[in-house]
Amino acid sequence: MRQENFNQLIREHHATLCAYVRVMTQNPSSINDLVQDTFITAWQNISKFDVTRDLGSWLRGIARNKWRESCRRNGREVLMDEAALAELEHSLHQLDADQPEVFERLADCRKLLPAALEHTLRSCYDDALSGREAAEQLQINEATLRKRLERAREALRLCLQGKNNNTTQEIPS
Amino acid sequence: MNSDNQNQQDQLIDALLHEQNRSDREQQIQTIQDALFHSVPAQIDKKSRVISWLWKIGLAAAAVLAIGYFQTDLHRPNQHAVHIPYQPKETTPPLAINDFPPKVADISNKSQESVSILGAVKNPGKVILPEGGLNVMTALASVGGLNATSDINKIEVIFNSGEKAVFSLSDIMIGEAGKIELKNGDQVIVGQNPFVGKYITVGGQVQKRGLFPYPLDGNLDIVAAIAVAGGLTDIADGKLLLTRNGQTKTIDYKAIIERGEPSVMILPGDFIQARARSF
Repeated sequence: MRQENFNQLIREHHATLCAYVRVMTQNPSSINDLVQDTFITAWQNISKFDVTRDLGSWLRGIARNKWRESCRRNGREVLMDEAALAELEHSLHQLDADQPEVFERLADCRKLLPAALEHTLRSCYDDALSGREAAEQLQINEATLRKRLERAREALRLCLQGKNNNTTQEIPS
Repeated sequence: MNSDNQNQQDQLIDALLHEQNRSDREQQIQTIQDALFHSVPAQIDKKSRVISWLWKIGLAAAAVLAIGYFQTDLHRPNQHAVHIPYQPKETTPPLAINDFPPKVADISNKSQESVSILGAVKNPGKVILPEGGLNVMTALASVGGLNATSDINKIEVIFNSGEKAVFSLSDIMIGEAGKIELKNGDQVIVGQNPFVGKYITVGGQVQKRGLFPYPLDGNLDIVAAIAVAGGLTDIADGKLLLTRNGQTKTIDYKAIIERGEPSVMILPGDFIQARARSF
């Protein structure tokens, strides 16, 4: 595979792989390292990749092995056992979150959210404010903020599953 | 759908939202691409630059030494040479810069008396004492000078009498120490820089994570260490975890940068982790 083609694959799969690693490791500070190691291993073994398989699935397999190896080396307990990892893979497919296009769909779903929920997401995720900062900015208390986040995520989950993706009214505000 | 599955899907949504508009995405992709395709040439470039500088420094030192050498009487034909039978095979051509490193000690070798030049020099070993004598500076030049791992503040001269003295390179090059005459059996030992091969590790929310060589001057504070790692990312919370000898303490980096609080010195082997903001 040519270098430019692999660069394109990195660009396509970086965000979805980061999201997967975030859930798998439950540790935001390990995402960048693990994803970088995964792409390096993938490039080194690209000749072994079966082109009939899904590349995202192959990358996630590498990331899983890297994470297990890292946990073993550092004496940490693997947070997710094999059953939980299999369940995570299942959840990914249910949301089609293993495909790079998931972010376009997510953006579309966010447009359907009531303004209050969308503002909450923007403060907490896009602007990366802390809970306290976001609550202050939105002039609500932190408990309300958490409740809004829960509702926004629930609405987006349903939307990505293909439910409630047409009308704003169906998404609770 | 069971509750575990729903919980996982919520976690996935949370992760997707985190990754959706991540501001450092391009940087991270660039880091990976650099690690994959540009790290080796970059290292070669860096190595080439280092070698190039070493050559320049070496040639400059050779030129200085050669000028000093020609200003002495060492290179002039011995006035009593007419009494010595002509021996063409032992004749050594005049020293030139191109002959670097100069083997000064070989040019008028009539004695088996020697001194030892050891440690972090380019060609450690014994140097035969020439008839005109050999001082510390010329002795170092005769073994090619100091190497890249030398400690320029620890050049020890051990005299045959048992006396010892430690000099810096500047003492030798500029001061009087370079003119000390060496006698048979004396030793010059150049120490190795204690920071050679020492590293620090910087991880977490910095632009470039990894192992970084500890500076050879032994002077590194936490602000410089973070600068070496390219600075903090946008989602760093300004707190750093410094792990030393298995113990971790939190450093308020923001307070050092913004409020001018005292910085913290970093030692070889330290691990610095920049924390991410959480909410």
